[in-house]
Amino acid sequence: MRLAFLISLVQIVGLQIHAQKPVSQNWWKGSEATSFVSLNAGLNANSADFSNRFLSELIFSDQLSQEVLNDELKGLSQTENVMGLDYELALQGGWNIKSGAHTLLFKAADVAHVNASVPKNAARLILTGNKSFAGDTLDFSGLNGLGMRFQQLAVGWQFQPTPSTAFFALICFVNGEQYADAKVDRSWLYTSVLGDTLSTSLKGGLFISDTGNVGFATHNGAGASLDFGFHTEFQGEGSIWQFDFAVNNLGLVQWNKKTIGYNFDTNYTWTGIEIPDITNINEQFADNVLTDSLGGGVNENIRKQTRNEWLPGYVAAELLQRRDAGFETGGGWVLRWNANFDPYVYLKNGYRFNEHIATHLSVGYGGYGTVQVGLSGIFEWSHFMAKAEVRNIEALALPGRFAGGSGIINLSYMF
Amino acid sequence: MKRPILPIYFGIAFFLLFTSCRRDIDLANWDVDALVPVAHGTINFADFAPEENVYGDGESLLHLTAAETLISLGLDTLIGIPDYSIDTGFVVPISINFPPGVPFFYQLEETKFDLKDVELTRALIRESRITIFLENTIDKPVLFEYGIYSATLDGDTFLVQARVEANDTLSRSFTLDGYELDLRGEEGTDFNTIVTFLQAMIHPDETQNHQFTAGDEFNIKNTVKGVVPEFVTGYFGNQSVLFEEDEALDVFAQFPYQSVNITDFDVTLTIDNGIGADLKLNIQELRSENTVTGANAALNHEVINNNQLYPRAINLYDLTDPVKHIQKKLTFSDENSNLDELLELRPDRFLANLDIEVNPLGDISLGNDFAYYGHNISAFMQMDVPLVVSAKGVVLNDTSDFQFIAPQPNNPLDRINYGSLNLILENRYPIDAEIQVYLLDTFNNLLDSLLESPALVLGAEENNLGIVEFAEQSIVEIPIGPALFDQLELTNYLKISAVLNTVGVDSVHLRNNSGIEYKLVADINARTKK
Repeated sequence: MRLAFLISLVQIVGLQIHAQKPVSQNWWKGSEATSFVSLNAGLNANSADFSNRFLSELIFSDQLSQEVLNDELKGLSQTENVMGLDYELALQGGWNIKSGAHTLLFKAADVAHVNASVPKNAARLILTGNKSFAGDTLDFSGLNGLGMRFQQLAVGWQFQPTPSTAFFALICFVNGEQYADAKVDRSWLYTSVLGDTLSTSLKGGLFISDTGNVGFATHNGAGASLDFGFHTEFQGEGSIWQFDFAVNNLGLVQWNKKTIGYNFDTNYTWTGIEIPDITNINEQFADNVLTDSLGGGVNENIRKQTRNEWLPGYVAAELLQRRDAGFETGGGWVLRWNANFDPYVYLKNGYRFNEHIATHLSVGYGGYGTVQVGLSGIFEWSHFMAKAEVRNIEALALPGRFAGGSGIINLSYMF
Repeated sequence: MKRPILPIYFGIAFFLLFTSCRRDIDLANWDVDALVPVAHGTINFADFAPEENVYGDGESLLHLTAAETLISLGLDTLIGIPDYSIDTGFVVPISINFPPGVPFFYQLEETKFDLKDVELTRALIRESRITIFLENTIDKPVLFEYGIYSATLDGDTFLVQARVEANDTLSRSFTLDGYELDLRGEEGTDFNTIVTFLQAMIHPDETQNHQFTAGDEFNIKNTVKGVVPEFVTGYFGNQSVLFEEDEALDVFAQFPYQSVNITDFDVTLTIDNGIGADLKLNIQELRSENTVTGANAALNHEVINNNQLYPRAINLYDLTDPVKHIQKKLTFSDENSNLDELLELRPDRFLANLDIEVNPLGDISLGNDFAYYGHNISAFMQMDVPLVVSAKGVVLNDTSDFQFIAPQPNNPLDRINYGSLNLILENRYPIDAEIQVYLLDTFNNLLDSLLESPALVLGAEENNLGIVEFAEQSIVEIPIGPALFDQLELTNYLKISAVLNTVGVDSVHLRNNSGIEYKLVADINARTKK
């Protein structure tokens, strides 16, 4: 029953909790190298600029209320409002060879990453329309976003020369399922006072993987990546200090030649359909195909091409005190690339009740947000280990100010 | 024993987690306020008239022009030569032996046309068609010869020879095109008369005499049709003809006004006499009519019901330019006529009753009246109306077909909550307009109006030189929304009604460099999703 409860918990958490910190876990499973199987699941959505109240209404309700919309716009930064989402579901395992120091590792994972940076003016345009900018030029340059979903099959090796030290490395084959990358370097919209003229200027690029080939694990690109790191422990202040270092997803995907690329650098003014002959309006409306030089300019630059894109990987380090029981402390940092992610640092303090159960509270700053608060719990037995971590509690407590929620579940069975 | 089961649970959990994460995100709706240009263009009065009926002068002042031929009387009307037919037969009275090549029948005949008072002495044929039918009832081939002594071409008489086989018939056609006809008869003193001859003989190629039996018969039928003279001369008689002319006029068809005050115009009626005969013209009535409204007005001018004498045209005897026409122009102004009334009612037809008398003084040319093909007695009306107008309370109506395709799912129109179509008008015409647009069903029943109340479009002001320097801007808001779309779906016709008032107290000038620039802008509150 407890196991069934745990499985159900995994499903529920997988659906509803969110994780800020990247999901993948270190491979060290204890003082003795052993065979194991693990399930890691996490979903991460976070933003210091948008709010949970806004996002939950946007996603889960039928109508976005004017009050929420106005509050959201008030809180946005003028130049950059970042949000990020990571999802990972991984089945991992290790096969300890001859009960020695060497363990063969494998991993199968489904990974998704989305990040976007939206200038306030772009959000205002999208959420309120252009009427309030009549007579003005709205600059919304800087809009950009990246979305990527891929699957990984990895094999690797872990060497545990001593009970407290382990090195690991995996090489991953990456199947690129879906990809979108947009960057608007220059964009503005002028709306005349009476609305009879719209002028816009756009410069940027957009890349989308084959839109006709979608679905889980469809093949639109291929790549490779490396995961590597180590675990070590040392004595200090009357307790053991555990240090983990990991580099994940250091690699890239080459999206195949069906990837659609747009590059645009155009100015366009729209004043409506020109009706040269007022006595024959109907036919002229019918004859007017609403194409314009903007569309023409974009179409001229549409091409299909291969495109290489770095995976949104990370490097993370964590130092955590380990006692048999009592208060524990520690901290860590995370750096990411190609993810619109600020450096994230955190402190971790908690209490270990006994050798099996501990809980920690973390307070961090950076990433896609500002201050972030998380709570984690660890349950360890000789053959079974479960870790659950809930982050972005600040967004749950102040849904009108912060957005997000992060969660990681790690279930391991050691043979 | 329980351990091996755990990985299976992991696998199930993995599958459930994976599948449960696939959720399509359906974002909430929110409302946005958008200002979007829809259409733009320029309305110019010149666009409403056929290109040949409107022009701008050196000062860009628009003029409406029209040239209509009210009457055109040619040769065919005054002195047409009728179709005629000559039937001749010969029956051999006794049995007789006759050699070949010796005429056994000869006939010279004068035919006089009935042209009433007209006495023609000479004509040049432009078009004609002659058909000859010959019937031979004897047992030998016969040679027929048919000639028109009156018709000559380069000195040669019109002559036809035809062999008709034994007991056979023959039909042949000819033209007299280009032949000159002397219509003075055999003696040269008559008129309207042609001289023909006919003879028949046993064909000279025959070698034996022929024994005619009493009762042998020969029949000849000669028909002349469609004679169109190039030129005629003689005395055209003293004839009087009453013409009731009805001429359609389309210059105003594109201008949907009901009435306007025209303050300046230049209209001339030119009587052109291309006939070599004196004329007396009496215009009994000249009237314009708008058949749609039923409005009509009759011309008051000194020419009405007053006889006008027109001397004959002069024969120049040059076939490339044979006639010097005699023209007389009648000028109509607002001082000597009420022609402006005829124009202001937006006529689509002119009606004229004309009495024309030829040679009112008799045969003073001593039989030397003449007429050439294409040189007629004509009456042209030439109209030039500078658009210097004054309009107060003039109603302009125009109804056009309309079909509205109702918003469908996924159609952006279906997302409009409310808003308006703003018609922004930059008016450079010195005319105010009070506009309303009505929605009519298929039976022309009024459904609704687009505007809550008639909208006033301000006219621009002219300076002292009658020139508009600055356009006047007006914005007409047309409320739109689902209720209107429902009404538009029932609408089959749009009726635009405008009440026009020229700015100021004087007449204003309509110029081709003026116009009403219009811009249609959608000012809407719309949902982001249905």
